[in-house]
Amino acid sequence: MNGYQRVMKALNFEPADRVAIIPELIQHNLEVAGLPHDAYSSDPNAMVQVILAGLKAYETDAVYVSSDNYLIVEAMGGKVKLPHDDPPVLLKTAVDCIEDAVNLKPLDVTKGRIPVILEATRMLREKLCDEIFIKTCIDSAPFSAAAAILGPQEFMINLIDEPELCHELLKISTESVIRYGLAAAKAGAHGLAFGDSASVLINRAMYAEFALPYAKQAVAALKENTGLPVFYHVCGDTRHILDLMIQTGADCIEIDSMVPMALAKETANGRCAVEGNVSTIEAFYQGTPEDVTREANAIIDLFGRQGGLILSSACEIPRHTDGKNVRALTDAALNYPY
Amino acid sequence: MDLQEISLQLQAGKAKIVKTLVQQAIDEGIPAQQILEEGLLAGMNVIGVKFKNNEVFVPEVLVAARAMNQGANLLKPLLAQDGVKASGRVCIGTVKGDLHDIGKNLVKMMMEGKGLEVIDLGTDVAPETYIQTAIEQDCKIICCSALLTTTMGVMADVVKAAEEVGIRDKVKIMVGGAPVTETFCHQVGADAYTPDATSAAEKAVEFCSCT
Repeated sequence: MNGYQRVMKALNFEPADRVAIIPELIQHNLEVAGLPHDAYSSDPNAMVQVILAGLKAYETDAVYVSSDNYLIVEAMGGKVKLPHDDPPVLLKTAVDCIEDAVNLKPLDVTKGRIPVILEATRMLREKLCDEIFIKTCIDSAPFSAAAAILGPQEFMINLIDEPELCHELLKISTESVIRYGLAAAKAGAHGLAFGDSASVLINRAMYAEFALPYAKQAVAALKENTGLPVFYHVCGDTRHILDLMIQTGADCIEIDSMVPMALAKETANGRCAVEGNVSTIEAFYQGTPEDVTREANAIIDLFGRQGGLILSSACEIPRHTDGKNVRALTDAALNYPY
Repeated sequence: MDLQEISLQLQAGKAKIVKTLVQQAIDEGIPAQQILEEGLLAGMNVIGVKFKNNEVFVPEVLVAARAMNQGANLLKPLLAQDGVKASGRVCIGTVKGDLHDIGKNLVKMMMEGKGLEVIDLGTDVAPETYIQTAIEQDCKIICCSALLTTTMGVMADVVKAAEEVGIRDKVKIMVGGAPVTETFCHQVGADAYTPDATSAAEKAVEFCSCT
């Protein structure tokens, strides 16, 4: 069984030879490959080289094609700086006020660095065929994309001051995310992933009004038009919206370390797979291989290899994490006494 | 007038109403400090507790803080006139290389809601800037925020810089942000880690009352 098949089995709740692993590796792979961040985030050849170095070192079931969460805002008029060897930073949002935001045109996928992600996806699919699952990050779900376009603080205030205009912006960001996803599917992705981490900052009722309907619409459009599975990630303590995250219709929800996997499994109740959640700071960054193994085994204990689980880090593995700790996740999946 | 009405309107984020009520209270001759404490700070305190308990989230805190600031602007000249001083002065910033500011802003709002004076150094703040500000402005606390694992290491440089210029025993250094933990706080030699903005403000008040 290869990595692609293993991931698909997990998403389809079918038994596999072992659990599938997709650690969230972006910056850490730069350490493995010895390439700087600016090259990775702007040149598809460098991106592919870095991703393949990580794949070789850790033998994951998928590659994660992702750079940062400023691709949509940049392509829609924001200004991004690429420091030589640090993550990209957003210098200027696409617009300064909600009144201007509603006049934006939806995303053009030829703009900014979106072609970098698309080309890297295409190259990886060509190279890896259907051996390894290609999970392409299409930046953010509509709510978080809107927050990036306007600036998160300004957006959050306007959710209260100008809810109708926020809905208008959300329609634009939804259309943008869908366009990006369709282009990524065309480039050869096996699965589409987006993050909605700004949505953890709002209450449940607001999530239901401003985040859920648009995420749901994007997931439905992407699944209907591409047939690909969709992964939905929200950082932080999502217990207050966990059941609503499942209602997005995503094939897999990604859970941070504050949320017990048992709770996520129980809440999902077979409606979607769950990805997570070995703690990125305590286990990977500050811990030992034994810490990673212990947490990973406890997660596998809950699911076995019957499907419904993608074993992963709770969030992105920090760059300067000891490689032994990352390797320990793979070894946990390989050595677990199923 | 009942100052609790100011508190309630602040909690609802009604900036215009808060401003009107504060002006009304001033006109009625209620001392500025009393309006501040029983109206604005009392309201912000409720929001802080609710935020800590996940009963309100970021948007509600932002509009409440905006209402507090509108009211406080009317009170500032009167407080200065009455010789009322803040219970402590803090400088805060997101560390060098990091441009994320929502968490830092929330901590600032909560600290102001506790009656502290907060000097906001913004984002991408170099260790020497924290130190220089703390010396020049006589800050009792330096607060460092980081969202990235790649930038949180700067917090160790801030502690080191405070030691080098000989102010380490005069200033408390607080750290926070998504990747920061209690263990990390000890590793870098900072004085306190708090997991949320409200706890940060409570800790800062505790530090200020100890010195």
